[in-house]
Amino acid sequence: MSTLVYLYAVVSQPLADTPMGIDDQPIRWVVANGLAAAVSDVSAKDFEEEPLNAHVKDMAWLGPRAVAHQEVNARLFESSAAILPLAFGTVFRDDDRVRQLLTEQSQQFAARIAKVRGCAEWVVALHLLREPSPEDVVADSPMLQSLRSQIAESSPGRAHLLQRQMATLTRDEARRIQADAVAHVLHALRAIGVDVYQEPLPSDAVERPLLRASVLLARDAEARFMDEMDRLRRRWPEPTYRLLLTGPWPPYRFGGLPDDA
Amino acid sequence: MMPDDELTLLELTDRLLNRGVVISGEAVVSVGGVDLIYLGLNVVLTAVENLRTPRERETAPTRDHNPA
Repeated sequence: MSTLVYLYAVVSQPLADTPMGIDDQPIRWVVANGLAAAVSDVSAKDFEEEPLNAHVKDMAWLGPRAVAHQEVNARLFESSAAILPLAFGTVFRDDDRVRQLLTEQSQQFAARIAKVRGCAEWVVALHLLREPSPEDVVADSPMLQSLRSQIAESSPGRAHLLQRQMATLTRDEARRIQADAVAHVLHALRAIGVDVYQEPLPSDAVERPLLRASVLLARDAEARFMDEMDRLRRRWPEPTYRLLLTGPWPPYRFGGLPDDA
Repeated sequence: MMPDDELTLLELTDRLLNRGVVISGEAVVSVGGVDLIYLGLNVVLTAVENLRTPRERETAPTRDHNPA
């Protein structure tokens, strides 16, 4: 069987006791320049570009292999202070090509290892579960509250006019409040995270969040981070908003291949 | 909302695949001068529906801290 070399992650030195990799192949180590790459053999029949791009649309094929990829990286993440996990489908012709990557990119890898050392990655998403009712919007808007008391004090004709103005302004305020929620959450994440990356939002998703962000967070800041999440949930509460959190992940977003790769 | 295990696998595949670089034509792309096959990933998010694998729950790396 013709094989290719699948790269899971780069760490500082080989680690013992790794789980089996994709398709139950054992993890091997390719070492160069003070870096160690966790790899396993995969079949060229499945992992050449063309079949791979076809397979990846098939979740029955992708699912268990994505899980295997993550299991390897989760173990490396647990047992090392710093790991650069690669994206699914990082495949090389042979070990020499992996060695060449470690050699040629050693400075970038070292810099990234330094950046993610002692950190995990978290994903924070803020969803709008339902459009807020006009009452909710007014409750969040001093401007509308003042307009409302103005209406109460006005003559019937003027009150009618202001009432119509109020409807338009309520829609605008609803948008502004959502933008505020995003800005507020982002600000809080930036205050506590080592780094924050605002993820692009898929335009066609069914439940499109208002915000999706990856946060690189020091492991010793996690308790504080949970408190902060609770605070944000109280500020932007259900049933209108939902703040979702997943982690700790190996730093896929912040630790992968250099950006210019 | 989706059941937790579906959400987890969706997050997993999203996390693992989102960095993909779309390539076309050649079977091998060059990364930093090294031949590398990289996955074209824009296909994935639309395909992640109703996926179950028997192992996913026990291997889930995620914790959803939302009480809901």
